[in-house]
Formats: sequence, C-alpha cells, structure tokens
Amino acid sequence: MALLTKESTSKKTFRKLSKHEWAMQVRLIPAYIPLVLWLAFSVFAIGWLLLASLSTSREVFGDNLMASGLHFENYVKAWKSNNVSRYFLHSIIYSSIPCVVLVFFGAPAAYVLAKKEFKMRKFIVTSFIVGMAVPGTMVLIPWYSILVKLDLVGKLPTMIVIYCMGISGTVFFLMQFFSTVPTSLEEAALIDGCTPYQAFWKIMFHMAQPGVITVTIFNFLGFWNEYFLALIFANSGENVRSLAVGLQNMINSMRFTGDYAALYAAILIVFLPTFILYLFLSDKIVAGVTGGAVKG
Amino acid sequence: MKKQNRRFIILSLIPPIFCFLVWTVYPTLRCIIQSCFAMPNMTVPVSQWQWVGLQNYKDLYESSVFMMSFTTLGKIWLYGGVICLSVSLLFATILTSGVLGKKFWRSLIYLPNTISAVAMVNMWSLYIYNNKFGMLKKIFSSLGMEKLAEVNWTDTEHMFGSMLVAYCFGYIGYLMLIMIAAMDGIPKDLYESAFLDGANAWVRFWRITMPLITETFRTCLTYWTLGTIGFFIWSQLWSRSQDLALMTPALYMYNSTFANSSTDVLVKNIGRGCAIAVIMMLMAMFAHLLFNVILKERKYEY
Repeated sequence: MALLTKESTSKKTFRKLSKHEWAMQVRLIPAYIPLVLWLAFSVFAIGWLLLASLSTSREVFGDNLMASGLHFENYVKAWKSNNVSRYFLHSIIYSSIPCVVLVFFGAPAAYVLAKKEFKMRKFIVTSFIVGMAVPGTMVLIPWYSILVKLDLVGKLPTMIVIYCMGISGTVFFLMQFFSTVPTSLEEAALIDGCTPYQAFWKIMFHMAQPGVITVTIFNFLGFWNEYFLALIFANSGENVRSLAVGLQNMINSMRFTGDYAALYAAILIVFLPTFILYLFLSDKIVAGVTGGAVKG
Repeated sequence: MKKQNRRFIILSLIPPIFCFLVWTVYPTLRCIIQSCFAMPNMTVPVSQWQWVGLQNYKDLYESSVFMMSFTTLGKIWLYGGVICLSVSLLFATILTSGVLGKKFWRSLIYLPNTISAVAMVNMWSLYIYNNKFGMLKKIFSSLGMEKLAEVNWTDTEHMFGSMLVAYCFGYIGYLMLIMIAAMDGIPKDLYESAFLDGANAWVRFWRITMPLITETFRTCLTYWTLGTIGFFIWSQLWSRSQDLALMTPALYMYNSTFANSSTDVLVKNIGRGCAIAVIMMLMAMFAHLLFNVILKERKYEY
C-alpha cells in the first residue's frame, strides 16, 4: 500500500512537470547538438575498434569489417604472444597492492591532519601542498641512479614501492572527507577507555567509508593507467612491464608487421578493464572528481 | 591519555612525511645540486662529478632543440588551453541548463579521462586519423571534401594539431566536471529573476554565470597549466621517430638521459637533465604564484 501511494505521487509530479519541461526542452534543442555529436563520435570510435578487433587485417584495410564472421583469435594471439597475460597480472599487482597500502597509511594521517590540533599541523599541510606542485620529472634522475646502483630496477616490488610514495594525494582527499565527519563518537569512545588507534579504526575509519572507497577507485584507475613512471622504472624486461608499457611495445612492433587486427585487439585489452569499471562506477567517480562529496 | 594521543599523532604522520622527504624533498635538492655538475651517466659516483657551475643551464639556453621544446610547450598551453577551457565551459553550461539525462552526458564526456593514454593515443592515431580507412577520412569524403580527406593527419606537418585535439578530447571532461560543480552552486532564483527581467541566455551567461565562476575558472587554468608543464606521455607516444614537432622539455629530458638517443648535438650529460627538471619546477612554482597569489581578486558573494 505504501509503495502504491509513493508511486502515484511520483507519477503526479512527473505529469505536473512535463508540460513546463516540454516547453523548456524544445528551447534546449540546440544544446543537445554538441552532446549528440560527442555521443556519436564515442560510439562510432569504440564500436569500430571492437568490430575491427574481431575482423581480419585484410578486412580492416578492405573496409568490410567482420565479413568472414567473428575472429576471436585476434585476442588469443594478442593475449598469448609477447606475454600479455603476464603484463596483465603485473598491472593488477601494481594497481591493487598500493591501493591497500595507501589507505592503511593515508587514512590515519588524513584524520590527524583534519581533526587534531598540534603545532606543526599547518606547516605539514602547506609543505604537502607545495610538494604536489613539483613536477614528476624531478624524481627520475635521483631515484633511477640510486635504484640502478642497488640493482633494484626491473624488480616487481620496486614499482609497488614507487607507487606507494605518492601518498600525499590520498591524504589530501581523505582529509577533506574527515573534516566533515563529527568527532563526538570518537571522544565518547576515548572516554570509555579505547586507545586512539581503536577509536580511529573502529569508529572514524568506518564513518569515512564512502571517502575511502572513492579514493581507492581513483588510485586504482590512476595506477592502472600510469605510464610515465612505468616507462622508466618498469620497462627493463618482461618480468616487470605493466600492461600499458608492454602493449605499447607490442603495438610498435605490430605496426611494422602490419597485423592490424591483432593490434586493435591489443588496444582493447588496455581499454576494456577501466572502461568496464567506469560503466559500473561512473556516478561515484564523477562525484569524486569534485571533492568527494557525493551529491546528485 | 594525552600521551597516547600524541603518540597516535606522531606515528600516523611518520609514513607520509617519510614519503614526502624521500620522494619530493630529496630529489628536488639533489637535482638542484646535480644540475651544477656534469657526469656522463647515472652510475658515476659523486666523487667523480665534475663541477661546471651554471654551464648546464647555459648549454640548454644555447641549444636550439631545447628552446624549440619551450615554444612547443607554449603552443600546447595556449592552443590547448583555449580549446579545453572553452569547450568544457560550453558543455558545463549545456549540462546545467536543464537538459534531460544530465548524469548520462556528464559520465559520457568524462569517460576518456579514465582510459589509459596508450589506448587513447592508439585509437586516435591508428583509427581516427588513419589515412586509409580512418574515421576523419570517411567523414570528409562523405561530405565531398576530397582535399581534406586526402590529408595524412599523422605526418610531421599535421601531427601537432592532430595530437592536441586528441589530447584535449580526454581533458575536457575533467575541467567540465569542476565547472559543473561551480555552476550547480549558483542559486537558481538569480537566473529566474534575470529571465523575468527579459535577459536572454547569452546575457544570463555573461552577466551571472561567468562572474560567479571566475574563481573556478582560475582553478581550471591552474590545473591546466600545471598539467601542461610536465607534458610528456602524449608527445612520447605520438611521435614515433625523433620528430621535433612534438618535443617538450620533459620529452627532451627523457630522450637525452634515458632513451639513449640523441636528438641534439650535445654530449650526454645527466647534470643537464637535472637542470631541465629544475627549470620545470621553477615554471610550476611561478605558475602557482601567478594564478593563486598575484591574480587573486575579490570573491563575489551570493
């Protein structure tokens, strides 16, 4: 019964709005033109890549895609040759482990910087802000020199540690989140005899769950798509290459052999993981870009 | 309890401060110092570094390729900035004007931002700009513009423009989201009363929206500028040979210190690579100062 009344009222508001809405939508027709063009472009580009990756190279050049049916062997070829399955695994390792580490170490720091009063607070926050403006190129020569000397370039853990170094972004994101969370519960827990650690992990961390999830999604996407550091520190052999670096190497060589169909399959192998993730999480991602506050 | 609290604060802050010192402070100081020395490769011990003072900076100033990379960077910043800021402003205005399916359009336009640059670059250069079966070729030839259909968009002459358009395509969504958030914050009654007073959409945009989002517009400009200074991935992926048309300072540094390929007559010198990193940092600091301190004006209240 309750459900029924709810439905009828929502219908009513819809009908009431629709006349006014219609007049407005007609006025807005020119505004839809750029949107529809963008949509058409995206659908055609992604659709064509998908079809081309399932055709033969001859069909791609002859402009009659999929004339001889579906050729999933392009994917098999791209996946099996050149260790792509291995690169895929590397990318999963590079993207997931730092995500966990960054939240584990970043969340308490963010909380402390957002909620606790102490002398150095302002100084630390300002230094982090200034530090984030330093271009990424700065770390290359100093750290490459050290890692080469220690023979650590071309090792899986090196890349994981490197990604964990950029913790200040996570701290900042969660700081904004913690500053909106009320502290009264934590104070009550402290009075009841909890240690600050227990109070943080059992109460405050749970209250910051939405922020933690959003920042983890962002970190994962960021590390999955990361190319700059991976090109320098994870490009020395098949044992370390990330998916993006490995596939770019492969694409560069495929261009010369002219195997375009497998090449498009390779592009889609880099493209699809984040695309599928985005299909499910776009609302959260879009909301997270502008400060993490989840609004309509 | 107070002691416990202090311990909690200190222990929580140790990891990020450690990362900050190791990953930001140390490289910056080392680059500044190393940029005054010369060394042929990365593994030369510090005792064999050769003091050259400001010679590395002087060499860079005299290198025509490096100076050209600055011009290229400036062109990317200016043309790309105009494209990105104006198109994202257009889309943000459209999406806050009450179109149906706002959420869907917003997600769609932000989509390229979440895709790996490797996939985007290859999609554009191997399909859309392909001069045999590419999308642009088909569009132009179906419109009867045979001359444009014949253009090879990825050759040396056109690669700068084609790369810039492809890059902006991915960047627009990000700026648009920031602008939409600002525009959603403007009270609707301002528009309604202006509408009743007879102001058309154009006047409402320039008299209400623009003044109230100047702050956000500057934020977008700061992001764009700081993002452009390190411009590297797209140039590196787009230029297959040692093309100079897309050379940026970061790519110049990569090529001359990591890639073992000389695009310049200068001898390989890691110290010079450090000098480039220092110059880029100074540019970032200057941009930060310029946009956030000098150009700061009063906020409108609403």
